[in-house]
Amino acid sequence: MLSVLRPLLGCFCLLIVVIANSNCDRRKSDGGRSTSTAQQHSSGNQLVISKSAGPRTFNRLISADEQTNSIADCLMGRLIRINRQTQQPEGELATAWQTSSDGKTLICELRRDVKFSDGHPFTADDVVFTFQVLNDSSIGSPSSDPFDFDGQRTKVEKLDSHKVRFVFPAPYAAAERLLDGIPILPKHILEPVYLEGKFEQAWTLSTPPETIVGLGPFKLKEYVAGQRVILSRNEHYWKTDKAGKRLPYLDELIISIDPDRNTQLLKFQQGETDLLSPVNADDVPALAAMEQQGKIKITDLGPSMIREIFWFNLNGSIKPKSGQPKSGHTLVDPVKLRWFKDVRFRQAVSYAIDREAIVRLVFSGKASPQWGFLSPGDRLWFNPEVKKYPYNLDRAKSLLVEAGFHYQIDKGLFDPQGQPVTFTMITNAGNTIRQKMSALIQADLARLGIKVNLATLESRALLSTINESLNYEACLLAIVSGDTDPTSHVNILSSRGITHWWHPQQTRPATDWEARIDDLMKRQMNTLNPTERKRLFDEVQAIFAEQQPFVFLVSRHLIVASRADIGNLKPALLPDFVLWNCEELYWR
Amino acid sequence: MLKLILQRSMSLIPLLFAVALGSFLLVRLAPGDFLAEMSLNPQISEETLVRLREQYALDQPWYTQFGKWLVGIVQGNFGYSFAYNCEANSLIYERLSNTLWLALAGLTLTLLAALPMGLLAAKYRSSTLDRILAFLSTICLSSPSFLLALLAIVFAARTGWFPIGSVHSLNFEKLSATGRLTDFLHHLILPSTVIALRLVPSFFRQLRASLIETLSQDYILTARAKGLSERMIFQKHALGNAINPLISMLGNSLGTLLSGAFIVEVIMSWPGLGSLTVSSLLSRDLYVLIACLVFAALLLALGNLLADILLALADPRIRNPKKS
Amino acid sequence: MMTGKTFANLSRRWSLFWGLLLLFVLLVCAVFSDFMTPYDPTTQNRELYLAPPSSLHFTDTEGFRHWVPFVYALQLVDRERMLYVEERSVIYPIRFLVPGEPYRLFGLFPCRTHLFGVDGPARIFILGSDGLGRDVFSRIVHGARLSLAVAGVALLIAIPLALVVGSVSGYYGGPFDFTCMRVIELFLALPALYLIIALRSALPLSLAPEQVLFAMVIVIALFGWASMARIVRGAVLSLREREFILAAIALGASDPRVIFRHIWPNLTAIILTQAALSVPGFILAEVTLSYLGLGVPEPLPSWGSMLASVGSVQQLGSFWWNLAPGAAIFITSLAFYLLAEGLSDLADPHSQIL
Repeated sequence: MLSVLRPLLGCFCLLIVVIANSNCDRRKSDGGRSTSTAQQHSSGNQLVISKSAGPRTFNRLISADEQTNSIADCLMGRLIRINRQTQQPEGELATAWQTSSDGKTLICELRRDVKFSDGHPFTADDVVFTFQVLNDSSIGSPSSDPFDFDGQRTKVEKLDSHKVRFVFPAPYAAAERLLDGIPILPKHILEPVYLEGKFEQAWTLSTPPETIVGLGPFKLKEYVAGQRVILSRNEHYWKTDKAGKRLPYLDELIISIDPDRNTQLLKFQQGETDLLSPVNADDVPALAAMEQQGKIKITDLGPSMIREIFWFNLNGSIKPKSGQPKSGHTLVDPVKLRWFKDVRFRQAVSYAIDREAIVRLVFSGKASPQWGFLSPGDRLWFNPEVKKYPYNLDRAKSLLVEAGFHYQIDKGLFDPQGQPVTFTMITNAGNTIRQKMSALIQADLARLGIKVNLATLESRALLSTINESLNYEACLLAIVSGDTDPTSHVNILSSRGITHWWHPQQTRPATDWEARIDDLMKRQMNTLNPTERKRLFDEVQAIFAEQQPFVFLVSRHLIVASRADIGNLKPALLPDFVLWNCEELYWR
Repeated sequence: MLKLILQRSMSLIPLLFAVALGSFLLVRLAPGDFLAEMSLNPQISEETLVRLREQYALDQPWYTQFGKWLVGIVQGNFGYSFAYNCEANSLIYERLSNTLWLALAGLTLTLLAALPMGLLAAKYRSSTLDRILAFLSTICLSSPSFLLALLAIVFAARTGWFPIGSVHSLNFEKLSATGRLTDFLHHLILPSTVIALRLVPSFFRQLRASLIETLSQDYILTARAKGLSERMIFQKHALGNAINPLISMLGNSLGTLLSGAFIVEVIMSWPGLGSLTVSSLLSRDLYVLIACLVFAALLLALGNLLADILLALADPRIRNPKKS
Repeated sequence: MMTGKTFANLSRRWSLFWGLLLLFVLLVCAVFSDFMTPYDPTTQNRELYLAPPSSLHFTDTEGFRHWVPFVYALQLVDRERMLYVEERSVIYPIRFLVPGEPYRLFGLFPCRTHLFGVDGPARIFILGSDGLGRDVFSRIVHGARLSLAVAGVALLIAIPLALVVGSVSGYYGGPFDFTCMRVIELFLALPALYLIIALRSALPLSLAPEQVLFAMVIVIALFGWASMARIVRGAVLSLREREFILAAIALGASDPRVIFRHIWPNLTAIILTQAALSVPGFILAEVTLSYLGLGVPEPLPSWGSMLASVGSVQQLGSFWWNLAPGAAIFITSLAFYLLAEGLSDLADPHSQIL
């Protein structure tokens, strides 16, 4: 018996030794790390950040998701960058730019003596090449859409080796902001690939890192699939600090890919990562103790660009895709559609939702109630003078009664035709925040006598429902803005837009107020005077708040946590929240 | 014997075909595709989406798509990952090896725990020790794996003894060979323990039961009557016979490990096949998903085949079924 | 040897006893959940979210001892750190058979009486409250109803299917057996969870939560029968070679007769044990789905969605009572495993294998 057990015991001991060893090693390596980071701090070494998803490509021009963009943006340079903190454009590879009085041309003066990360000089040819690829409809770059004016493309001409002219088919206010999303590609590397017709296969995740060449502060050192991206300092980067020292200060920027937010938090707490952005409201108390010890810094940037919304499906019986009315086929029950189309019904619902409760219970106080289209975080364009819907059950009830609804004791709300008022609200599955919000809304509307059923859908199915099949009644979701300029919201606001979710892709505006918004949006796009644009967009916001096609609920705060000794960190509300100025970051 | 192996291997092909077809249809049946997420981005127009759908062949009918995929398979090409913009093969192999390491570690830990437990419980049958072990195994059996995984990361967070997520530390490349090994094992230990905790009870019970059954057989009585020592009886006769069903169980549990442990991989951020399956399912990354499912099915089938072969080796009655 | 056997039997009797006892408690909870709990599982106390479990007191501030335990009302004093203090000026003794929120007993008879409760504005949260101020205890007890319903319906579908397919395929063998085995393997090789997710997204949106639940149960059962059928087949395969079956066949009994009269009675032990063994699996399938957010929608309380609502590991640590649904799952699984152990002995005293 014992002899049988002996080898097993041996195995056990071996295992214990291995574990113990690894523990020792861990401690040693930890110790090693802390001393080396101490040294690193003087010379500025590496910075580690967690991201929830890895890059999908290193080709910024064909990427369409935020995670890929923010990594690719560290590798690539652009002509003009929107300073995320001031939300204003500033010159990068373009030293100066001039918009013509008709708003149709933009001339950029390019920076001289700039080299790509392989040492090749940067000229106007690279800019022209980049826009050639961008305008190529066979490539279909997602970044090209803002440059597309009803099928007409923006033209780019080389004026001399360091001067280019952009010609827009129509006047376009704030055109220079669009250049923020366009990486300048190396013609000498990518042109042969492009001519071979293989541009889309260039710079994938399996491309050898040294062949990925850019004008950004960093270059790709290594990509370990599904685990991390290691970026190293680009010695040829053009920017210098005031003392004339070449940027970036950091030698390495490591992006650790951790899809699970628990893992992200734990890695940050254990010191494996240096930045955590965004921090969930729930996790702030867990980090507060570390902040008190002075190890980390938590920054609450206030209401972010993520706005939680709730809307009713206002689509009639016509499917926008085919444009053909299907006989006997309705997307929304006509009885319910009649309620939803009544602005007083929408306003009543808006009054009945206790936004303060959502702020407190769902976001632990780290959110702000919202009524209008823009988040207060949009400093330049936010209109504070819109109609507000503070929690007011009596006001909600009187609005409903005014609209012909009536109450029956113990039975709830009934419409003028005597139908009980009930609807199903869809939201995305696996999202704790939405689950909690929907339970709160359900309870709030029950007080109004409305019975709300909930259905959670896996996110792709949800998107397919609200974008294509359109057969739902109400939806709870969020919208995010990537830029602050009014024109960037056009897909939501214009009645032809695909994210005009309550009634997308209309051939002609279904209501007067939608027609008015269309008109205002078009006018602001063609107006160059900023004050005039602001006035026009203020009216859009006012109409939006009055009509409540989206019932805005809250905007969560953007919270960022960082090691206390990271210098020059300027967290901002626009993506990437912390890495947008990665060239300036350093260890104190 | 050879005939059995050949027959079973041949039957794998329709099985895998059915799995591939089934999962293909499933993904197509569910609304929304990989590009649905892009429609959230206000800067992407509908035309772009249509163009991309064309490019990814998502606009073609499913049978055309499936046919093309099958042709690719024959050439050893699992298709293209939309989400990662690379060949699915490299992605799958990387994740597969992580999962196999996790499975291997989990099984090793299981055996290391279950073997002595089973031996002790059978040896000191009906003693307090036996009852304690039985009680412990029932406790383990009743704990849902995601609860164990959650508790494990709470434990890791509280103590800081174990790293969380990923397979290596960030400084893995700079470590020596032994450093790398210990680093890897250090990352492996917690998830594999969680997996082992789920498997130990069934292995333990199986071993204990078959040991007890073997010990009550006539030939053991004969051996006892001959005056053989208990040690010899255990080692020479009982264990050899009792361990066979355990070996076939190893094969069977491979499937459980691969498909069942996915929640452990997801919660503990282990970059394995399970978490890849979930993420590709959620992002509708069609070809990666199918490749994952086919691989999982293949491994499961191979495990079952192995189990059957071992069982046949152990039991002549199943090896040569009599025609009645 | 003999004493060992009796001892083992005794311990198995005990596991049967404990299993049945736990099952009984669970069933009572499930059937009388409205009566057993002080509050409706959907009632939100928005000022009392993430409140810790109420502490029961016997001695008041003046040192007076009470026979009936009482609680104090809670007040949230620090939102940042979620600190609650007891308002010690008024005591609220626990009352039994108190009138409270109305409900329908068995879904039929309107009723207001609850087993226990306290007077308002105080609340009694035996297991604390969740993020929306709902009583965790009430939700867990109501969740038992849901979980047991899932298990019950799934068994009703899975057992007959497994019994028929397993025994026919094991008895006849040959190409039919071969086909059945491949089908079973296909079912075992298809990751059930993914099919359920896909089917869930294909379900119409307007379905009531109960209907969604029912549809899910059917899918869970459709995957649960396969492993059971394989075990049945294995048992039939070995039974077929046994002398009494061979004798029955030799005596000229028809195939259905052999299966019904001779094979099935011998399968009772296996079926009962398998049924008890598969219940935790079914419950876990629902819990996992709900944990991923694809299971039962709000406001129905499911153990899985309760666990998922906790969100972060940090919160699990700070508000430990939110782990209580995990304990409930554990206890339920334990009940069925104990039952399986006991049953296997009761049905077949000679069997040693669980």
